[in-house]
Amino acid sequence: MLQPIRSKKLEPVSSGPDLALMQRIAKGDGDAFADLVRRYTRMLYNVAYRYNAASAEDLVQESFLRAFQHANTFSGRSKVSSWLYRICVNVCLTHMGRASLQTTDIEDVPESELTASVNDRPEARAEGRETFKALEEGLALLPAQERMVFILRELQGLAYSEISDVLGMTEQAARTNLHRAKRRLQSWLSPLLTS
Amino acid sequence: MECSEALDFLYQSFDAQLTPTQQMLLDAHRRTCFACANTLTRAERFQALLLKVPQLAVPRGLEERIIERVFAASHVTTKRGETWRTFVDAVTNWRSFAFAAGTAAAVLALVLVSRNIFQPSAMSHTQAPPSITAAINGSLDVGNGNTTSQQSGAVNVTPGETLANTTDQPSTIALSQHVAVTIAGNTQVKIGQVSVDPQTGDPNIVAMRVEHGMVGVRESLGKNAGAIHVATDQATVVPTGTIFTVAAASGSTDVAVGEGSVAVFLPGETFNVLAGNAAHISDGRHTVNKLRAGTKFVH
Repeated sequence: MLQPIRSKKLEPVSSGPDLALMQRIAKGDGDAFADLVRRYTRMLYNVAYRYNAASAEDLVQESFLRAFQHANTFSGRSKVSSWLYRICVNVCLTHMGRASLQTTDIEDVPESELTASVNDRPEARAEGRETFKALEEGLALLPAQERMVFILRELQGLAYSEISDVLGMTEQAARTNLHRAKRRLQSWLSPLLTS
Repeated sequence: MECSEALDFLYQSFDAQLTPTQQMLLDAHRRTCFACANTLTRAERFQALLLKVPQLAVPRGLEERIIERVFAASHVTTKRGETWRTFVDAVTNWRSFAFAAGTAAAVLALVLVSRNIFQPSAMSHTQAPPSITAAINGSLDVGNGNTTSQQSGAVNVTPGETLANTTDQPSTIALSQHVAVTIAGNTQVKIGQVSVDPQTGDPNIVAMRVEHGMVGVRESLGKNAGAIHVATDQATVVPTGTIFTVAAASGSTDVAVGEGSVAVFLPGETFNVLAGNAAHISDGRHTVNKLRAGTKFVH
């Protein structure tokens, strides 16, 4: 039996010191902003990379630029990490719209093609780095909302309540999106999970 | 129970959200429905796979590029004027140093870098104290260039200090509650950049250079986990929730990963080594192979 999901959250600080940090940034304190970047770059980079690997660096840079420009709107009602996640999610979604990416819904891919694309790969794909690569490929095919819920829950370890806060959906909607994403990804990776 | 419900129940069980009754229903269904059993097994394998997905290391220089871009776009300077520029230069120089090939280049870089990054003033814009409190299990010779003393128990670790184990027995130094480094016998390391969270006193980053010998690192991810960077002449190794070893010999470096994964930075190239694999780095090239059975980690 598997254990409940372990948190992988890369969230290094509590809200108290963070609130003071944000207040300093809102007053234009560059040193405070540099601290913020060092604390949270890894967290946002992991989200942006899983969402769109090719543009991850640009997405993180844009997220921090917006955070700096809108620091005075941070009210302290949510954690700074949630606030940054929300900015990053919006940047990712905006970027996707601006680029007019024609993403393919994983359900639109014929099953024969989907299976072949994984089966045709060398045996070595079944383990390690290649499996993660296949997971990233499947992730890129998920609808945006499901993809983001999956990233935040399964790869970043956020609680459903925090996902609800970040994405502006109910916790039940987050669960539903997650289960759909997992069903699709499990199907995508099925040949690799059978052995 | 319908088959379609079983998978949702299983997903809920991963979140520990099933009631005992629901768990019994799921277990009973699984025993009797062979078609479902395969699907559920794949779901468990998928979940197990997700637990192994490594957290990515931040690309080199990204934090500095973000800060420079935002400051440029916003016309912001730090309170200390050029201090930020000095800090960026210091970090850049440190990384160049870590990647420099050849002993002569490394020694030269060490002199240049030590003037910047090993000086407390270079870190002053963070207002972080220039040392961290660590705990040694065993004993290590701690030297600062002028004096060397054998120490055990609680010690202050300062940038520029060397930690040497001149015995045949390994000693372990806990740098924080998340990072412990076992220094094998006849091994010497030098402490590089140390950045400390001014609020908690916990280290954000500890950079360590293996001058010779081998170290084993146990790093666990956690809410306040900091990062440890282990460098040799050939490579810099950055872990993400990992147990690994780095062995430095003349002209080559070996990295073995027991759990999690590490990102290895070479000049112009970055690659990951996943658990169960080992990388050999020499002359700027690398090979990755499966770990030999029975490989011991020195943690």
